[in-house]
Amino acid sequence: MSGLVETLAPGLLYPTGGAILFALGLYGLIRRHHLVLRILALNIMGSGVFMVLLGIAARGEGPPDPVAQALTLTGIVVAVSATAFALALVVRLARLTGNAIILPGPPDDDAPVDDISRLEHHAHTEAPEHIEPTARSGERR
Amino acid sequence: MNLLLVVFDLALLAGLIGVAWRCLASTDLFRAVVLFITFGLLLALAWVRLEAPDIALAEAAIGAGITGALLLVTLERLRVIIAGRRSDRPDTVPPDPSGPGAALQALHDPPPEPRTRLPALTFALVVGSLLVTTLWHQPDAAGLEPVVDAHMDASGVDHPITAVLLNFRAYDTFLELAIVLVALLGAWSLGRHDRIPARPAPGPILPGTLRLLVPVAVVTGVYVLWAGSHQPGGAFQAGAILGAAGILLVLSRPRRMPPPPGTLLRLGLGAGVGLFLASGVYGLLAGHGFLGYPPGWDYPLIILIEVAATLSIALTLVALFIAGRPEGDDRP
Amino acid sequence: MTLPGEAWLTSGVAGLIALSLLLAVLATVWPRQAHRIGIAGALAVNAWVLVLGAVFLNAGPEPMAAATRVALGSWEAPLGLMLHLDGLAMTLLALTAVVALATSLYSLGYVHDRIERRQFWPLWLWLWAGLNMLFVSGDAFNLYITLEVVSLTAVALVAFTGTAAAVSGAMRYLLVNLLGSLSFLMGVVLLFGEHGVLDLVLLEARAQVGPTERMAAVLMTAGLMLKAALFPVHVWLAPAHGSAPAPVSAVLSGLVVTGSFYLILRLWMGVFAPLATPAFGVLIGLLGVAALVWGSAQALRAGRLKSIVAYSTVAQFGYLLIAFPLMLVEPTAWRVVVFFAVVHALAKAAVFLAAGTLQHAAGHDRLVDLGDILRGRLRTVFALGLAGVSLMGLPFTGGFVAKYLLLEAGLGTVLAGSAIGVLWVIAIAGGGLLAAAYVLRMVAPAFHQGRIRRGEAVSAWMDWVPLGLALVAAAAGLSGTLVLYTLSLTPGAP
Repeated sequence: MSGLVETLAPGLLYPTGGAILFALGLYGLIRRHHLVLRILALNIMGSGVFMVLLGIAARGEGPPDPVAQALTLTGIVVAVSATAFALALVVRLARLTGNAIILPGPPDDDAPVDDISRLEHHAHTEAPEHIEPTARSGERR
Repeated sequence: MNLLLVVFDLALLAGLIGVAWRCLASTDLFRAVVLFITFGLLLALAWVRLEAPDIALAEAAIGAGITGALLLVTLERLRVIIAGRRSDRPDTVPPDPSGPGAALQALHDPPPEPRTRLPALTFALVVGSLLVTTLWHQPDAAGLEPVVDAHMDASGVDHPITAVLLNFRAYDTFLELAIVLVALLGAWSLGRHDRIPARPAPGPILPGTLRLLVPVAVVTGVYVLWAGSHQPGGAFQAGAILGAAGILLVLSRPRRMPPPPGTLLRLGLGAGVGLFLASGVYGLLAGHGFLGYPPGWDYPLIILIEVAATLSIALTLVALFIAGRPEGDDRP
Repeated sequence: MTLPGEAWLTSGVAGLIALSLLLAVLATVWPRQAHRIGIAGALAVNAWVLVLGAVFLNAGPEPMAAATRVALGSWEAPLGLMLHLDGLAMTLLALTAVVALATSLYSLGYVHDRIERRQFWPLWLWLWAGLNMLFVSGDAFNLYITLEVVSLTAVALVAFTGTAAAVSGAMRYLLVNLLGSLSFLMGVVLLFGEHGVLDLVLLEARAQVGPTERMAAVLMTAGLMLKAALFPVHVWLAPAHGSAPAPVSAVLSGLVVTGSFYLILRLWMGVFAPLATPAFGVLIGLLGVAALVWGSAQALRAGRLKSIVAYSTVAQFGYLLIAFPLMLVEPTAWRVVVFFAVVHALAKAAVFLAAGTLQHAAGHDRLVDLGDILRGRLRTVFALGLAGVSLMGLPFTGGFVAKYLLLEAGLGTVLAGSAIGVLWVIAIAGGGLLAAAYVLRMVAPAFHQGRIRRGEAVSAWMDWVPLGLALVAAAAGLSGTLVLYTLSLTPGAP
C-alpha cells in the first residue's frame, strides 16, 4: 500500500494529468470548428503544459522549484494576452464575414482582392449601429 | 493520510479532465465557456496542491477571472453581431443549418462530423501516450531550486518567485509585460472600440455592490502587490485584481465612461515596460549588465517597477476587455 | 581582465537589444511620432549592427573558441538568462537589419494615413525587436517568449488591411502559431524536467540520446515547422502572406519564416545533434522535394501576383529541408544553407515590395489584368525580375552562388556513395527551372504588346526601395565569401 502511495506521488500524477490535458486540447482543436472553442482548446493545452511544469517542480524532496513556478506565471500571462487578442480577431472576423469559423479552402486565389473589399464595405453599411467605422478601408490609396 | 491525498489528487485530476472534456464537447458555446471557467478554478486548486500559491492566485485572477470575462463578452458581442445581421436582412435566405454559416446561428457549434474522429483520436492518443511515457522515464532532477536558494541574499527580495521574476530572469518578465502590451496594440489595430453589449442592469444593486466592491478590490490589489516581495503575490496578480475591478466599473456604466485622453492612456499602458527598460538601460550603462540593478538599489527599483507594472497590467486588461481603441487615440 | 574586443561585443549585443526595445516602447507611448522614431531607429540599428559586425569579425579567432555569451543583469546561467552571439546569429542580425531598413523606408510611402501609421509602426517595431531578440537568445524558455512576441505582432500586421481575406488569413495564422508555440513549450518543459536547466549551452552539454530528447525534438521541431510553414504544414502560409500589406508580406516571407528555420537549425546543431540519423535526414529531404514540387505547382497556377510570391516561399523553403540530408553527409553544408536562406530572404522581400507597388498602382493584383501596369512601370518590373532572377539562380546573382554551392554539396553526397543524393541534385536543379517558370509568369506581360498605364501614383519610396533591395539581393553573391566566413565563426558547429 505504501509502495502504491509512493508511486502515485504528485510529481508523477500531475505531469501525467498535464499530458492528458495537452492531448485532450489537441483533440478538441482538431475536431471543433467554432473559433471560440478552438481558442478554449488551445488554452486547455496550455494548462496541460503548465501542469506538467509545476508537477515536475514538485518532484522529489524539498521545496518546489521557484524557477518553474515563475515560468508558469509568465506562461499564464502570455496565454491570457494571446487569448484576448485572438478573441478580438474572432469578433472582427465575425463582423466581416458573419462567421466565427474559418471557412475551408484558401480564400486567396478564387476571390480577387476588390471583391473581398466590396464584401467588407457591404458588411459595414449593413450593420452600422454595431460597427464603428474603422479608420481604414479595404483599399489603400 | 497520504492515501487520502492520493485519492484527492486522483479525484481532482479526474474532475479537471472531465470538465475539460465536457467543455470541448459541448455544442452550446455559453456552456463551454462556463465549464472553462470552472476548469480554471479547479486548476487553481491543483496549483495549491502543488505548493504553488502564487500560481493559484494568478490562475484564479487571470486564468479563470479575466479570461472568463473576455470570453463572456466575446460571446455577447458575437450574439449582437448575429442579431444585427438577421434583423438587417430579413429577406435573405438564412444559411443552411448544416452548412458552415450555421456556426453563428445561435452561438452554437454543431457536433463535429464523425469522419475526423478516428484520425484525431489516434493522433491525440499517440501524442498523449508518448508524453506520459517520456515523463515517467524522467529522473527526480533537483531543478534550479538550490541555485536560486544560494543567491536569494543578493536578490533584494525575500520571496524566491519574485526574485526569479524581477531579478534573475527579469528579461523574461520584461518581455511578458511587452506581450500584454503587444496583444493590446494588436487588438487596437483591428479597429475602434464599439459599445460594450452590456444588458442594462436596473436597480440599485449593481451600483451599490460596486461601491463596496471596487474599494475592496483596490485594497486587495495593493496588498497583493506589497506582499509580493516576501510572500505569495506580486505585480501580475495585483494587476489582474485591479483589472477585474476596472472591468466591473466599465460594465456597470458602459455609456457614461468618459473617453480617456490618448496621451495619458498611452503613458499609463507603457509605464511598466518603460520604467523596466529605463532601469535596464541604466544598468547596462552603469556596468551592471542590461536589466541589472546597481547594488543596494535592487529592492527599491524592483518595488518601483512592480508598481508601474501593476498599473499598466490593470489598464491593459481593462483595455483588452473593451477591445477596440478609444476615440481619443485617433485625435490629431 | 577580458579582452577589450570581448567587452565591446558583450555590451554591443545587449545594447542592440536595448536599442530595438527602446524604439518599440517609444513608438508605443508616442504613436504620433512613431514613423519618425521608426525611421531614425532603423538607421541607428543598421549603424549599430554594422559596427557590431565589424567588431565581431575583428575579434578574430577569439569567438572561435566560444560564442560570445552575455549574462543579463550579471546573473550567469543556469540561474540567469544568457544572450548568445555567434557567426550564425550575427549573419541573421545583419540580414534582419537590411531587410527591415528597406521595409521601413517602403512603409513610409505605403502606410501614409495618419491614423494607420500610429497602429502600424509600434507593431512593426515590436516585431523587429522580437526578431533581434530571437536571434541572440540563448535560453530555451526565453526563445518561447520571443517567439510569442514575433507571432502576435506578425498576426496583427497580417490583419492590418482589415479585409475579410486578411483577417481570416490572420486568424488561421494565429491558431497555427499558438499551436506551434505550445508544442515548442512542451518540448522545453520536457528538457527542463530531465536536465533541470534552460540554458541552451548547458542543455547541449547534458543532452544524450534518450526518450526526453526524442520527444522534445519531435515537439519542438514540429512546432517550429508549423511556424516556418515547412511542408507538410504549410497550408496557412499563402492566405496569410498573400493578403497582408506588402511590407508585412516582405518581412513575413523574408524574416519571420527564416527565424523559425534558424531555430530548427540551431537546435539540431546543438541540443538535438546526437539524434540526427541518415534515415531522418532522408525523410526531411523528401518533405523538401515535396514542398518544392507542390509550392512551384501552386505558384504556376495562382491567379494573383502576391499569391505566386507566397507559394514560391513554400517552394523555396523546400531547399532548406533538402539541405538536412546534405548536412548529414557533408557537415559544413549548413553554411551554404544559411547563405541560401539569406539570399532568399533578400530576394523574396524585394519581390514582395515590388509586387506591392504594382498592386497599389493597379488597385488589384490579378495577373490577367495587370499587363498594362507592368508595361507602364518598368522600374518596378525590373526590380521584380532582378530579384526573381536571384530566386531562380541565374549566374552572377546571389541566388546563383547559393544554388551552385548547394548543388556542389549535393554532388558531394552522390560522390560519398549515397544513391538518394541523385534525387537531391535533380530537385535542386529542377527547382530552379520551376522558379524560372513562375518568375517569367510574373514579368512576361511587361513584354507583350498592349496598353500602357502607370495607374495610381505611388510615392518615391515605393518606387525606388524595391529596386534597391533587388540590387542588394543580386549583389549578395559577391558577399558570399564574407557570409560564409562569418558563419564559420560559429563554435560547436562543424
